[in-house]
Amino acid sequence: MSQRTPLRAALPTAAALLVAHAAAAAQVVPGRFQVSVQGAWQRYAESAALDPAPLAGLEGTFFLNRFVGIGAHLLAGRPWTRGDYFPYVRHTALSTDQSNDTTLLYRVRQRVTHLQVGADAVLRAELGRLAPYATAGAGYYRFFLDPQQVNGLRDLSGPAFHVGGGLELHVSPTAGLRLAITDQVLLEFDRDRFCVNCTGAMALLREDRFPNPDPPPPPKESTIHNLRFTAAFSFVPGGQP
Amino acid sequence: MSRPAALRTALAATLALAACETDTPYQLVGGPVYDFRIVVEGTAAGLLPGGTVQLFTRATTIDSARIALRGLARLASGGYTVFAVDERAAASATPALTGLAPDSLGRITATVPGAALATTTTLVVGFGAADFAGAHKPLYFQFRNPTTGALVPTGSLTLGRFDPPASTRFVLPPATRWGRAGLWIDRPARGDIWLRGYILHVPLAPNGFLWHAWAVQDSLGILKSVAPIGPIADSLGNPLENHETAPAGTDLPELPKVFIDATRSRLGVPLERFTHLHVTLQPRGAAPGPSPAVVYRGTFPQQFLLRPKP
Repeated sequence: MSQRTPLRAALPTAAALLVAHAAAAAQVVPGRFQVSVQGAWQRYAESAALDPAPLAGLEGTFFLNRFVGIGAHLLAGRPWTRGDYFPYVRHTALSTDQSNDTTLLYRVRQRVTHLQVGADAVLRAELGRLAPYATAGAGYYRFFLDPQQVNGLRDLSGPAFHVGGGLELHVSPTAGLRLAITDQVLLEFDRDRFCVNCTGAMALLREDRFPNPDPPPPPKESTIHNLRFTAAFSFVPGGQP
Repeated sequence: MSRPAALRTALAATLALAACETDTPYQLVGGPVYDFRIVVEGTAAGLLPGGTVQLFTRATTIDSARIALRGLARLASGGYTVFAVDERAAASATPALTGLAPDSLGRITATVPGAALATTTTLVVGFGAADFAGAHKPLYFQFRNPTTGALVPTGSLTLGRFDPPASTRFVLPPATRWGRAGLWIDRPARGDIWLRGYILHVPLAPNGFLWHAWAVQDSLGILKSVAPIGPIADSLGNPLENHETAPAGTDLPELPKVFIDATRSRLGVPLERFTHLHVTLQPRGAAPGPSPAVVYRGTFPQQFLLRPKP
């Protein structure tokens, strides 16, 4: 007997939803808020010393008419930093005569919390049940470092802006599914803040003989461009007036 | 299920998922590193290039001068030259002895005829070129006071850079100057061994010399085999050269941190066979082999030496 995967099980439901609402009208209501629950996959800039990571968040957009909206968003994620961009940490085992004789070297990374808030402007069009749209906005980002790793409360923050576009599929008069790609630009970025063993007490454990033999990381950038792929479910709270 | 209960369930599920963190922030790189210290060789003072001068005089006339040199490596071509220099007259230098070759222990004994010293003030030992201007001039001894003409019948040659009137001495680093090194297994590539270390506060090498590191198999003080690791370098791997351009002063300045770097694959010999690291003062153009002037020594740790030999 074949085993049904969750995705295969969900497909008939999604198809039924689409058929049932084949004649649905636009899911934005002028003068009302549209709320989007978002899941995103962010590919950080190569120079950022951050692994790609998922983000989740909310976006609220107030539509002035069916084509123009303004709103705000809040997203959060937990990306890992890349340890191969920074010096190693050594762990030394002391021998009985206290002359250190064996050392293990570690690549150290940390899991940071990425929060981003901002304001958006949306310009959309309607092509039947599809609504392509463009978005741009500005805001503020903040990476909270792992307090256990850096022995304190430290963060990295700065202004951010984004541009991008996407496609919205109406599944009911007040709900839709959305896919988008945006260029998330972070300013005043300093990847050295992610280095666990560059400052403080941990610097004492930084390996000072063997340089990192990995290929050298790309040069630092203070402005980084990150690609964000977003999938969202959007709806108008309270339905149609 | 009531709404608060559903919220609590969702929160608990989220926290449980967050607690199921399987990634670790620490990732082991390569195999173990076997550490050892690099220390100033206990007998380094007696191993440095140097020597003594003894004048044989009658009243104010010099009959001859006997020079006993030590700590010198055999040169690949040519030999050491003894110049008689008059510091009171610019560019007044004549080669008194040429083609001097050290014995197997790095020693040279020679006699300079008195005629060469009649109007000069200083004996300078050089190498690398036949003419005084082009030669390295690491050893010197002023046997006559340029002002009063008084003779100094005996003394030691100074090691450094002869450049009157501001010659600069080499000063052997004290025992408190040390370094750290390690042998890293399976790095920089799997199956390889990476030997790397640093030494702090290393004085610049004397004129014509450079610091050179060697992997040495030492058995009861006898060198059974050696492999050249290469000149010591800065943190970027650039060899430290042109020490002669160091600013004039009483002593040769220090290099704050210098590095030693080699891998088994680059050396082309099994690194496990060696027992020590030597850092020597090596004359430029020396025959391939460590100079007798061993200044720093590191002993490979037992954990490394007990590894199976290839």
